[in-house]
Amino acid sequence: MKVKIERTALIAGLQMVQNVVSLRSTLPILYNVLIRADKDSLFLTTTDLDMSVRCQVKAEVEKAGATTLPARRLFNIVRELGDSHVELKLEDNNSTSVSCGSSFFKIMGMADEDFPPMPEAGDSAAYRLEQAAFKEMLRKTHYAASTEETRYILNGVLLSFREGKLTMVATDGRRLALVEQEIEFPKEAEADMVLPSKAVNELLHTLGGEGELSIRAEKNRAMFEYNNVAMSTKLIEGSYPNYRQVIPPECEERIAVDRESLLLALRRVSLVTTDKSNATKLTFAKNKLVVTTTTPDVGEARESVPIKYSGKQIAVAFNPEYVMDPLKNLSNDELYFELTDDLSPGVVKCDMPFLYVLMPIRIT
Amino acid sequence: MSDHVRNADPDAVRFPRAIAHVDGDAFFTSVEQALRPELRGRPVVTGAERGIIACASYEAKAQGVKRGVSLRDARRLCPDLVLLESDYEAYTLFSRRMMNILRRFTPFVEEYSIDEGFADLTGMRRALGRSYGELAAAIRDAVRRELDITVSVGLSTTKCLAKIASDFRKPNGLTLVPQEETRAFLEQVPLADVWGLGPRRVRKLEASGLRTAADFIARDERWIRAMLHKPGWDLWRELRGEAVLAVDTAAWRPRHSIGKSRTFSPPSRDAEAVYARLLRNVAAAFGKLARYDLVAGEIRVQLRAQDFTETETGCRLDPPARAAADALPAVRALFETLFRPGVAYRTTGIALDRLGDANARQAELFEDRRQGERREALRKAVETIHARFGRASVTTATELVLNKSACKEQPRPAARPLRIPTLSHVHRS
Repeated sequence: MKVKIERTALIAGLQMVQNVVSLRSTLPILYNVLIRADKDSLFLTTTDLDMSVRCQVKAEVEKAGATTLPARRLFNIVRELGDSHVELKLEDNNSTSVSCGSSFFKIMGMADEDFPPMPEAGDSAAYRLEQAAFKEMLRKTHYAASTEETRYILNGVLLSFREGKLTMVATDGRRLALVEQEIEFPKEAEADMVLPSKAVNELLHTLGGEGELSIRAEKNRAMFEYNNVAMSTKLIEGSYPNYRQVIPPECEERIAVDRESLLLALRRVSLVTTDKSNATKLTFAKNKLVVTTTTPDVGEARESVPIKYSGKQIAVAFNPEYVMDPLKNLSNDELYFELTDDLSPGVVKCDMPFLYVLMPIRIT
Repeated sequence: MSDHVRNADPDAVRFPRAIAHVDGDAFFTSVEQALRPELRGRPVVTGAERGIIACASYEAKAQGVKRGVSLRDARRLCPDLVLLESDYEAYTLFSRRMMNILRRFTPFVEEYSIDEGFADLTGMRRALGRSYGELAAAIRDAVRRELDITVSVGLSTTKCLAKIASDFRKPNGLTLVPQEETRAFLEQVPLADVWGLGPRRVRKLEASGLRTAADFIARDERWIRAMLHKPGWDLWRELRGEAVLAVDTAAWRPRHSIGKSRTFSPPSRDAEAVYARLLRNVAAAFGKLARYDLVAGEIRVQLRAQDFTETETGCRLDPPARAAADALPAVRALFETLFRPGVAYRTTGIALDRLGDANARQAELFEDRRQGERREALRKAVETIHARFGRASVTTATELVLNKSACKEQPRPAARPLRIPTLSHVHRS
């Protein structure tokens, strides 16, 4: 293998794939990036066995071939190089020389045959969406996913392709975020899949603002293709809980709240909460939303946000993080709180197909 | 011992603040003797389960047996010594009743430890129609009459003075130190008896020629601050009658972790027997959790083998557990990953972490509300029975194997009927 490539293109390519590289693994080759030169491109691939990412970068290929190199080390070296072009040349014993202007490196790698192959997509039907729209949907739901290993099925985001739309859901069992978007796909392609959080984060990290995205699902894997990137990930197996039944069918009061003002108030008030004591009370009174918290041994805080409201007074306690999460990830100026009483779930909505259910903290 | 009420005339000038410190006399053994009248007048010690003396009765102390003496030396000193396992459940019950007696005299009660409490009586003189000295004596007499144990009471103008005063005459003592008698009182108190002065500070002060607490307060404020910094300065002010430390009424709560472990003999290779012992600790730990109104978000299990090798593993409890029953599947799974067939175990332990407030419970989206309510009703019922009849009254069936097993363990102290005055009795007076 002998190839010449623009340094910035190589950096961009390595950046796309290096998050997947294991930080701790019993398999040394998983620390490496697979580099394959073919025709006019360099293909960079990394994997942690659950998930693989491949990025294609333009290059002048003098001699086709492949090898693997330690991903982090290669990235750190290329980042520090001075010239505009880099030359990679496979030498003997799986070592590769990296030349750039006056710099010369020789890096020990491992044979490419030992690198776990990336599962390729079959000819199953593909769902096609705008990248930007899909990324936005992930952004509005992903934070609600659980990080508790005991709730394995909730450690990801549900993608449900049904009835001409994609419904995306994430929940940790205490709050739930849901967003919907109409897309076109044949009836027989209806399917549900739970995307692990690591893949979700990777997509959020690498999806661009323009262009299409194609998703193919097969048994327990999904393949994503966008721009110059292909990603394959295992799906979380098991049955996702029936989220429809926890969405309250109706509420007693619907109150418009300025998103930014409430977020700032919650940010400040939550400064006196602790892991152990985080209940924050939201009191919706006449034209005023009062946010208070009291933490033993720490102190108390009170903030007041103007609202237009003349219904019955409702005081309900929530984990402030759970209220702030959607506020941070939405961009609407105005949100709507739908509430009934201090024991019933609260719902946050906005002027788009978005819904957030959160359970109160019941204080006795 | 006779009462030493120096002057029964209540006087707001003598007590600008009136703080009582109530200290149980040889508390653990006193509780044992109250529960078992046949032990009265006999030398008794507790702590047999750990092989050290946790508490010695006055009869034992008279024969030279006190805390820190080895069990072998204790038996040599006192051949008819009665050795008991600690029964913290009974001690806790007595402690709670003692604090409730204090609360009849003032709402400002600090549960300083299991066997001592502070009561701020300031202003209660008029409301209760008795002098401060009479109130302090009434507390002491009420505890003796209702719980059948004795306490020593110190009454003074600050917490530090009250604490030193309660220690001045023991057992069943009553020591009043009004404002104007502070100096005369402190002249009789060696530095080592001052609450808050450790051995190192005492040596430091003695090197400067100080002998008594009176010498200490006679020193200049700046000298004290330079010598002992802020804590020493607070102490200096407290001893001079300036109340710096407030009576902290917030109930004491474990902040980080609740642990229970127990060693048994002989060691056992029987998985079910070892598991049953673990469950006993689980029940005890959750009992404590319930007393402080907490929930646990993490649980850890420890097993120690006969050769002292220790293994431990843990997991998150999600949602956090309030009752032992909520955690049993996790405990079983953890036990099975730790237990090795053929290994003889001598200690099982449990630790509850990530403690949270049980009264502010994060509701769950996918919970079955009716099932949750039923479980909650069961938990409350079991808790009520435990509070009334002791923890041995309701246990898991697994723990029953321990009653039949041939293990040479003393009968569980909690299994005997606890003849403790009922709550209704306490509230009546």
